[in-house]
Amino acid sequence: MEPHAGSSLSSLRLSRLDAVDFRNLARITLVPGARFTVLHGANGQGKTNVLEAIAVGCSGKSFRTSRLPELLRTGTTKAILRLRINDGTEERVQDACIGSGSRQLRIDGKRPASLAAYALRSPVVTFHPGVLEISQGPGQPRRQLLDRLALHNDASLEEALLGHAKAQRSRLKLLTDRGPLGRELDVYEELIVRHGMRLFDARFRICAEFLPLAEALHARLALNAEPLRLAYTPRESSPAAFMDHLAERRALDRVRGMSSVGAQRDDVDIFLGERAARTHGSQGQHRTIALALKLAEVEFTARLRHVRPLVLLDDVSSELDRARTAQLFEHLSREASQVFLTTTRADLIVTPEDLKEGDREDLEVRAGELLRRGS
Amino acid sequence: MRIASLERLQRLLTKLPGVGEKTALRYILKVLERDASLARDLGAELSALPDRIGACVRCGHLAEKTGGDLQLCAICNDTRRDPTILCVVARVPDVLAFERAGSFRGRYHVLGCLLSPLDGIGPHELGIDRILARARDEGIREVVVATPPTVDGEATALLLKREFEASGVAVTRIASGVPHGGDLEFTDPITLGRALAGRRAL
Repeated sequence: MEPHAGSSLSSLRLSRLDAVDFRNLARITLVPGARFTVLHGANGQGKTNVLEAIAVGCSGKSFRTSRLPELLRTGTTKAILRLRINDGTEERVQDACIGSGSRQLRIDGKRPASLAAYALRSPVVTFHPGVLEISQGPGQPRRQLLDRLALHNDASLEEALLGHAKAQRSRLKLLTDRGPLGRELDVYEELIVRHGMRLFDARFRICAEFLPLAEALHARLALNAEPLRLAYTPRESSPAAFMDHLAERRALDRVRGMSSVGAQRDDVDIFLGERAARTHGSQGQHRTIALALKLAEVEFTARLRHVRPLVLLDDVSSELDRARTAQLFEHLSREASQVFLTTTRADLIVTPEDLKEGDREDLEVRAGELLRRGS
Repeated sequence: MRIASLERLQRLLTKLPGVGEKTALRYILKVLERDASLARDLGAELSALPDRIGACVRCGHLAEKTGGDLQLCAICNDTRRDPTILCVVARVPDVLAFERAGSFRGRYHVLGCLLSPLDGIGPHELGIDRILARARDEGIREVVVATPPTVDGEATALLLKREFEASGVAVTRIASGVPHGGDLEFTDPITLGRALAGRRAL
């Protein structure tokens, strides 16, 4: 891993989005601002749907749901997204066709090797109200954050992620169906260890650089506050110990119907001063931690991929106070290439003063349609 | 106007891999365009198939039946093959791929499936005992595991390694990496990662 903090980064730019039958968007064409696109309007009009369409078009996945039928407009059977994207070296078209049970993804008409291969092409970082979970919730969103970054660093890690998950499911099925003594159990536990150790190693290497960056950003966001300390220790120290733990927990895991050993139990511990943030942090402190982690994700993704990601901000002003919102925009104007945000009040969105003509585009979203000012 | 017999045949053809409704209809119309002997020959060959070809009693590869009884396949019958090296594969097409390449001169064992607890497939369904018996009876010195590099393929390979541990038979795994003639830039990251992990000293 060699992030190049000082090297010149190119910028990812979305020049056009076409969406058909995506949630309440019957047919829209979005031509974004070069730097900021402000989607404003009353609640329930489809502002977040536009952000979600960009996220699905870039990554193949939604930040709101894993259930594909929810992405379809009522009464339709498929949604179509087409994005024109430039990453500074090439212009490409990304297509996502979503059915109720499957999605077809294409980059310039060609099918990607996998969902991860598609998602890695156009990095996107999303802030949405649920993002606070990254600080105060269980470990899953923190693991997902580390794994996203680790995949940007080494795309072949997808094999370990999928392999570990399937080997865990297979072990659990063996425990449930045949008890803790089946001879195949050793085999699947060996696979869990092989893939799991690779995940631990990848997360550890990411954390060595990512966590100090998030801590430093937090210090800038929360002046005079208790310092943030983030700590990652892989749950297993060696393959032999990992194998022993899996064998020891067979009976317990069988009773519980879930696996208690493996990379899916990993976590980043969050401290404010000497106290665990999860139990002692206030809402405001959690907001600042979440913001620091997401801003660090924007910066670190750019370093890993040598391209600044798109940033999607869903209703951040409802989660952040004015001071933090100002800090956010000040930071993003330097680190992000193109920002898309939703708000009920466009006048509250104060973007940097040095913007040029065409840098900011304000669009009203009303009943699933995009309206320019005056239209 | 619906033609019931045509639709019935179309439905049957779509049960084949890679054949959708349109392709099935194209096949049917092509057969109808040609003289009737094509349809009759095709029908006769297809209906005789289960009586003529089955799985080799030893290795599971395709074998012609004689008098309705299952026999050894051509590879098991070939005395020029090295009887001491056995290549274990998941499916018959894997044998055909090795045979097209012509680089393997031992014999095969076709599992017919892979270890998969999620699908209810265990060692018994894989016929592990049959492979162990073959190794013992045929004097096999090396078992080459050529199952696919998936979780279930790797699990099957590891199970075979464990089962043969006490037997003195060497168990090897085929390498995984960049295809010949392929440009590195078009190779997927997982394959490239495996190729790098399996690198050898020059």
